[in-house]
Amino acid sequence: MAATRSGTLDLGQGRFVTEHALPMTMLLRALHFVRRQPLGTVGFLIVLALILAAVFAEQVAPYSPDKQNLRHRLEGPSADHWLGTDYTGRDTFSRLVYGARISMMVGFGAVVIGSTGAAALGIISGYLGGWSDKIIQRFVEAWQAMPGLVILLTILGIVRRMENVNVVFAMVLAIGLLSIAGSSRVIRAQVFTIRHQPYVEAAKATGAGHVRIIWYYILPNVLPLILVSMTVARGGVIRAEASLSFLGFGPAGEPSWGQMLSIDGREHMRRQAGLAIWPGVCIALAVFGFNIFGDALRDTLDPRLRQG
Amino acid sequence: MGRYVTQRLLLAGLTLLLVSVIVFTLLRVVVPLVYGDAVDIIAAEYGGTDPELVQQLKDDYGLSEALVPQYLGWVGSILKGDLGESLFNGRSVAGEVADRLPVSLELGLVGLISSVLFSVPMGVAAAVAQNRWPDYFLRTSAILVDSIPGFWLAIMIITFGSIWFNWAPPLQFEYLQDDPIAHIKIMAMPALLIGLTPSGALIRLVRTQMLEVMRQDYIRTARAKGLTGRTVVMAHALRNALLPVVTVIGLSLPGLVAGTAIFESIFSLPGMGQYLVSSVGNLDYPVIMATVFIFSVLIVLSNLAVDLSYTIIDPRVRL
Repeated sequence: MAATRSGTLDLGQGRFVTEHALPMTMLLRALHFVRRQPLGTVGFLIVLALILAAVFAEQVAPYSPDKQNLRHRLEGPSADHWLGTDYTGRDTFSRLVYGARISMMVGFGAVVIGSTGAAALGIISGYLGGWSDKIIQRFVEAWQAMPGLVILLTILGIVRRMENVNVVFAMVLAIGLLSIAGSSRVIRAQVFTIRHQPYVEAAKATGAGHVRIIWYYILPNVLPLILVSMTVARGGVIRAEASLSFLGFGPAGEPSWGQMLSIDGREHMRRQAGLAIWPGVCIALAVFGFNIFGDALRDTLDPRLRQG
Repeated sequence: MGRYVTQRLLLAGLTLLLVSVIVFTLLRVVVPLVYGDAVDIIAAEYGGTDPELVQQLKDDYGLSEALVPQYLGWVGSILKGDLGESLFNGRSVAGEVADRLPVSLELGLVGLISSVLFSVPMGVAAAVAQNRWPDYFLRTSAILVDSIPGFWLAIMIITFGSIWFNWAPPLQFEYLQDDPIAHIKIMAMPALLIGLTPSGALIRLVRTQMLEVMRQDYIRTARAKGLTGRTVVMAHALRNALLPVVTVIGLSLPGLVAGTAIFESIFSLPGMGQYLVSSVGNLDYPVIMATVFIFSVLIVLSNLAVDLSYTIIDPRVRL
């Protein structure tokens, strides 16, 4: 499919036009993506909707997520409460909207940490090569052999006991750090193939320093890979957050989708099934959105798939 | 081949060594640094701030030594099969693990096997019917399955099972040797749900691998020889397509076993995950360290099994 898609032509034009009309080129590229990747566009729209819900939760949600109304407990959907209420009469829809906040914060935060770390580690290990690479890779292997969920439970179990630490922040940091090892290997492999390319050798011959070579010659070539691993990882990260909150290791006090499904509410689900349905739908939708958007982005950006 | 196997074994040993260092550093250096020492916490919880008692406790648990002897002591006792004792009820961790690990392993393995038995035929079917409706249907379902969290499905089944059929998962756990039928009744549902999670990714992987292989020249040769479609697909294509699938299966096993924590808590099963969750709640250091380390051993072993299985499946690796 790539041969007819004229990716190189696009790239050429993009570079040529850059000085004059960057927004125009970007718009064209976006339209191109929409036409080529309809499913990916759906994913993007889901993601966009969730981000907007998270950012404008105060405006979107009809009620405060913590406002109890004991006269309207465990109600079904109605004009007042679109998705019903829970056992203290809190509005389910509003809680879901606020729940998007934690999900998106962890989703984006952890992925930024994970990808930046993975890029740094992968580039350094791949660029240095030799013994330093061997040593770094042994550590990466050990890192990957650590059971993710188990480590997360341990870390968060301890963090939750500490008074002056933000649990969401700890969650972001822990999930992010754990995801570094896996994606760093992909980036390292890519750096390995480019570090002896003629243009890198040429740069070396002109006396460019290591930092300059990495910044101007290596990084641009692994950037698509980093971008793709960021989007693909996000579905898993959101699921990890939901699992942790579900097990009761998430932030207390703020509504989150996983926590809404947790054991505290389970006896009430029998009376009001919506309480079991909607948070799960939100998690599935978020993971689904990121997955199909990530897949489409990979098809478009991954240099290894372009030639396919 | 002997050299390949030795090399893999040495690397696995090295990885485990590094893991033990990381686990030890995390729980015996980082945590006391940012939060507090286990013994201080216990002492504080029992209201005792008597420095002598604290010192006594530290001596008992070997925490007053320097870090290096502590680490060596820990590794040494692990090698002897002694995983220490719970700080809270004094029970031997090894004994507890002996009871609980089989439950988690059974859940993970049965889940994985059912997932493979289900996904491989589905993936092959999708590939054979490429770009026709079975393919579209299977691909869409695979993406959906991939996005739906297994624990949510479990909750839905319990909720609606109770609303519609007045059914609830059994509360009393039975071991296989005590009551096989009751045991299967308890374990079947969580094991199948655990297997569902990796199925979406597996179906998609099998499909792309099959499509990739079906384009190869030797498949055309096989067809040209006059072999039936079934022989070509099963004997020539599938065997080659399964190589990367074996990798993914092997790599997903530890995640499955660790992920059983969620299902163990939903279905109240006495496995490793449940043990860990309650120990984390109590800050039971010996238990946490042992559990983390056991899960790591499991991961390293399944990676090793994947590497070694290559020598059987793909003769090229032996060279």
